This record gives sequence, structure tokens and C-alpha cells, in this order.
Amino acid sequence: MKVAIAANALGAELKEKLAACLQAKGYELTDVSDEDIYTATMNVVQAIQEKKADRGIVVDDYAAAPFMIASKNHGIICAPVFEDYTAAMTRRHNSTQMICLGAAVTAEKLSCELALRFLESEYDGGRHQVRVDMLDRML
Amino acid sequence: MKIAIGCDHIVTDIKIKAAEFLKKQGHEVIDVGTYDFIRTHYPIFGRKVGKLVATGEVDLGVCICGTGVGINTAAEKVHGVRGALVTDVQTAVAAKENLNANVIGMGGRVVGIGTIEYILEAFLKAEYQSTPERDALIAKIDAMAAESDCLVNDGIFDEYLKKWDEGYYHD
Repeated sequence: MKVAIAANALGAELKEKLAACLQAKGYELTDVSDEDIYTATMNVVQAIQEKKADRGIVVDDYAAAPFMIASKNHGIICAPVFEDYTAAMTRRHNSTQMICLGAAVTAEKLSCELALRFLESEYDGGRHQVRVDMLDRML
Repeated sequence: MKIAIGCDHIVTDIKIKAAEFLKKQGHEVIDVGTYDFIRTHYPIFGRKVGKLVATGEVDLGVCICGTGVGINTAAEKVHGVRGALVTDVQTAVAAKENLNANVIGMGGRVVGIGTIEYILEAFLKAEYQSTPERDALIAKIDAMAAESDCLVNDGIFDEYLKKWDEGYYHD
């Protein structure tokens, strides 16, 4: 699975540790980081939209700006993830392609577990697709 | 303050408790639904909260679903919404101080009503701390999604609801 990963300066240190963790598990990473969180997030969004990546991860301080920016793109569902339940359920129910993590609130070991849980979870489809279709219609 | 609040059928009881808390704090609350536990679709209610916020009919919005992702994504798809999905007070305050967030979201199956009350109280109290860099980022976010008709088109979900009723979507 190809994963686009990006951070700004506030997320750079955690992103490096996360990248090492994911690479050790065999994930193929493309680092599209940028000092500007808008550009870093849009780089991941574009990698997904252009199908250069299957999933995306953005790391900054609080996972707030990347959620706002990524969600305002057609076809993108992005989840700020701070705990295990959302890491899995947002894949299963929302068909989420990318997550954002906050280095100010989530440490290295938990970040790695959350990212892996997200990457290893699959979309349930079925009744959930009507909501995803509605989101895609909005924008 | 005037606050719009919405949820899906998974967390209606928690939404009602959060709304009661806001009212006790002296706020005027507009509950856009859902109002019971009958299966429905989170984009309907996320859009309603987002629209009230984006048009300035309310000061802030609150969105709660199971994880918070679905309903807050729907609110976020509305032009002019800057929503934050959080599990703790510090992140909620940062979203207001750094990004002037106008919607706050939580997962009703993720955090309990105690944490929700702490987050709401802190988010409403926090104030945007303007800097040229923050102003510039907010302007960029606010320029996004302007092409969408979801602010003006209240029938945007009709065809999907029809397909749902016809049994097109099933497990």
C-alpha cells in the first residue's frame, strides 16, 4: 500500500518517527512535507486524488488545520485521530482516505499504533455508502 | 451566544445532554436534529449546522456523531465553516485561538458527557489570537469550497434519500 505522508515544522519530528515505524511494517511512503501546513495538506490531498497514494497522513501540532483544509476538497474524507476507536471506525464507516495526527497531543508510540490501525482497517460499504455519496455531492 | 447543535441517531441522548448544558450556561441553542434514534444520515445534520454557521444565523456550531468524523466532515464541506474535531480541551482551545474555529465536534462514542462539557465550556470561552500568519491561513481556508451549491440547495440529498428508500443501499 502506498501512503503519502506530510508534516509542517511542528509535526516534523513525530512524522520522522512515524515514517520509520510504518516503513518497518512494509508500507511504501512518499514524503510530501512542506513548511506551510496548507501546502503540506494539499500535497497529500493531491496524491490521493491523482491516485499516486492509497492513503494519506498529515502531522502538525493539533490536527485541526489539516482537517479543515483536506475536507474542503471534493471526494476527500479526512479524520483527525487521537484514539484507537476512531482510527479503525473512520475507515470502516466513512471510507476515510487520510488522517491527521497532532504532535502536541499524541506521542510517538500511540501515533504509530493509530496509523497502523487506520491503514489496516477496511471500508464496510453497504448502508454507509449513502452517507459517503452525500458528502461527495456536497462538494 | 447563539449555538446550533446537531447529531446522528447514534448519539441523540448525548447531544440532548450537551444542549442542556449549553442552555444552563445561558446560551440560545438551535437543535437541528436528529431528535430520536431512528436510523438517518449524518450529512443531513452536519450540513444544517454548517449552513447556520456559514450564514451567520448562529455564532458557533456543535456536531456530534459516533466518532464525530462523519457529521463534522459534512459541516466542513460547507463554504465558510472552520470545524475542529477534538477529544480534549487543549485541542479545542488551540483550534479557536489559532484558526478561529466556528464549529466544534466530538465523538459521542469516543468521549463522555463530562469531557464534552469541559470542551464546550473552554471552546466557547477561548478567543481567536490574531497574527498575520493565522489571518492568512484562515483566508485561504475560507476561500475553499466556494463553488459548492450546498449552502443554497436544500434538496441536495433528495436523490440519495430516494435511492435509500428504494433499497439501493444495503449491507
